[in-house]
Amino acid sequence: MTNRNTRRTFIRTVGAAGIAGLAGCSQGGQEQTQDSGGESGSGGSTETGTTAGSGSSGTTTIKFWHAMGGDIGKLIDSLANEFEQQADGISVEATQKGSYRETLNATTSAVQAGNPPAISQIFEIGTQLAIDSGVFAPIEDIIPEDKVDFDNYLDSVLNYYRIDGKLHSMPFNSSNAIFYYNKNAFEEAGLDPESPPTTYQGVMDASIELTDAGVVDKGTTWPNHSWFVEQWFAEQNQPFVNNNNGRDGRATEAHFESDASKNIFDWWTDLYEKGQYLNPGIEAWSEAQQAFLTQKTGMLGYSTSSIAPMTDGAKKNGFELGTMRLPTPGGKRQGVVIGGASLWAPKSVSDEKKAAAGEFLAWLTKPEQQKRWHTNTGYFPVRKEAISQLEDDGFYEENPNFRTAIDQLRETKDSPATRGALMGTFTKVRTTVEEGYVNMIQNSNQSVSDGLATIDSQVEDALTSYNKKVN
Amino acid sequence: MSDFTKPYTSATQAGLLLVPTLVVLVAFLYYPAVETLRLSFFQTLLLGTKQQFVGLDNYVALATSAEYQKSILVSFLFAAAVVVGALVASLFISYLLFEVKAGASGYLLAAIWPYALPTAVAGTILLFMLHPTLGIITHYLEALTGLTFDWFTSGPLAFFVLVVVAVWKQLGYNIIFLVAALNNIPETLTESAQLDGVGRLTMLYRVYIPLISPTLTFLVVMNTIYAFFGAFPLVDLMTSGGPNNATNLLIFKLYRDAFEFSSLGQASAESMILFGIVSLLMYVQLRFSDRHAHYGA
Repeated sequence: MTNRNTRRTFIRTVGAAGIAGLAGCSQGGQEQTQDSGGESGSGGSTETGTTAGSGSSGTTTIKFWHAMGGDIGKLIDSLANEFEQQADGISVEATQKGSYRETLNATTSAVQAGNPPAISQIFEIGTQLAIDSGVFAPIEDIIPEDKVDFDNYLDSVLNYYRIDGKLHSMPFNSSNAIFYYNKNAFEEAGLDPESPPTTYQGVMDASIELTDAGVVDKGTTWPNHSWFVEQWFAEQNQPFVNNNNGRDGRATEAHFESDASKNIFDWWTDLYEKGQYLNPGIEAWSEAQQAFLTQKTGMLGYSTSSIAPMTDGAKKNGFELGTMRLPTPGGKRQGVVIGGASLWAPKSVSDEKKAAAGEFLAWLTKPEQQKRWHTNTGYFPVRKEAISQLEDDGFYEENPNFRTAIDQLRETKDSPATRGALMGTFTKVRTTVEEGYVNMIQNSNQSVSDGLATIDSQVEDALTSYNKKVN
Repeated sequence: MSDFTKPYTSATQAGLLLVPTLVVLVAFLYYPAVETLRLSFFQTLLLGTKQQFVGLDNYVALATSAEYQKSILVSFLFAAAVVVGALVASLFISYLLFEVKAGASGYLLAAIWPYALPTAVAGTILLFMLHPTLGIITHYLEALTGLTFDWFTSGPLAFFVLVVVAVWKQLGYNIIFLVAALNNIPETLTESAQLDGVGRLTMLYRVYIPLISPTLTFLVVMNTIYAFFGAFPLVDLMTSGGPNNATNLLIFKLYRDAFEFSSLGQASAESMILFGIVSLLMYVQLRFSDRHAHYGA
């Protein structure tokens, strides 16, 4: 009898503990982030004095949280070290906090726990959300005016991050969408490897030639990512949302039923139906890259941020890489939107640390550092001088793949469409667009315009419910 | 009873011994649970900044959301498929392992190793192996059957892939318990049943299953919890809830609403509802098994 009871009690207890433990999971995760924030904070003070500074007042340690892994992460570490060596009494602790979204969440949690980093990297689509959260100080206010002259920064980059005339964050890693292509495959298929397609129709024709020649499985691929759709809206000078892309007031309406939008989705679904678009999955950057590098496709839509590693990757796989501009419908070219991320300063950190962060940011965006940043990654330098110095050095003649990216950026004409959309709920909009595309290709009965109508109404619902929260 | 076996001498001492456990429970379970309940009545921006009390609005919005209703339906279907699939498959494998004479430990090891692989690692590797256009398994599957296996665009296929992977991942755990339970059955019972000429499958169904029913009950409970909570990494890595919300399990939806779509308040409400659903299920399962599981006498 006792045996029977204990066994049942055991099962109940284990069951209850199991649910309780797992139900609290989401909350627990946040808790941990806060804890680790606290830890690295306390670790900082013990490091005082490790940097041999000339000042007697000691060292100010600032935390810099970012989302750059791998080689780019190491580059950031070495930049931080170099800054420490030439700065008086400032030490920078750079930490990778995971993905962009995780870095944003970690920063917000740390702000609430009262121990935020002095600098945090936030992706471009988090801009409106970061402003609305009210936890960040505009970067213009913390960098001393004599340290930087914003006239020397690239206009297209500044235009993205300047909202209501104020620069809220320091542009850091900026990129655009670009297409890569396999020059060897082009040659084998009888296409001119030096004049890649520039239009939607051109990509379709080249794809058919490539597959007909049997050199690749499918013509092209790119991650099913709303970012490309946003770029193609801009190229056709079509704002993504109303109120001048959300820059003259809160966006309330989406423009997915516009002609520009139809052009994009007609072409994209057509490519899929003709077996020319390899669908790597939603936001599947690495799968798309793998498909291209293993020569399953002849072209790849990707980010300019990977020009350097992609060139190496192609060489290892035995082919020569070419870069081409984003193909557009009928060759319309208004320009591209800045992607990537910028650096934000939480306002609750001490003035001393803010000043140190300002010093670091001013140093980081100097032409010297920006040249290194650009040539080692493919992210744009945010300074005009960096580009002109590299031009004088003949860098772009030796590395024509970088040239395409810079040209595409410099030819961008400023307009509300190319400044990019501002929405607090951008992450949700992106997911809606990406899932919307899957629905279009999943269901052959559903026309593209029906699919776009669904996306349009879902995006507008998301905008409405977000706007209700902030008003 | 001598003092030697008594673990403590006074109530204070007993209390002190409990403190470490209680501290951990309060800090990591009860406090977050209460905080989740509180947040579920608030509207938030970016992880709990700018909280605003909205009463039951979050719950009302969920009750009327077609997406949430679909998520509930999908979660129940998924749980049913995973619990039934995992138990049936592991029961048969365990029975084979129980009967095999030569190389038993080798087979046992082979059967339980999937459990040793972290779910996130398994999800990442399987995504590449099962990828509709790049995956090696898909490649041969399509070559052999002549069908296209594009689970990135087909909801039912994506659901099926997720169930198979989730079942596979849970097999090892179930087998450990089932093999142990089978080995506890007195050999006399097996022998007398064999003398009566009972066949192998009848033996499993009529003799062994009733005897191991407490273990099976326990596994039903644990597998239900696994299906509702533990399959999260697989969804996150392999399908992201798609296509068309076909694999948008409650646990994934609440994570995404909280950490990707910045609606911590609404996600907290979802968390409370999920807690309620699973608690209720546990209660029903245990009541049912009280009547049917055989605990011996």
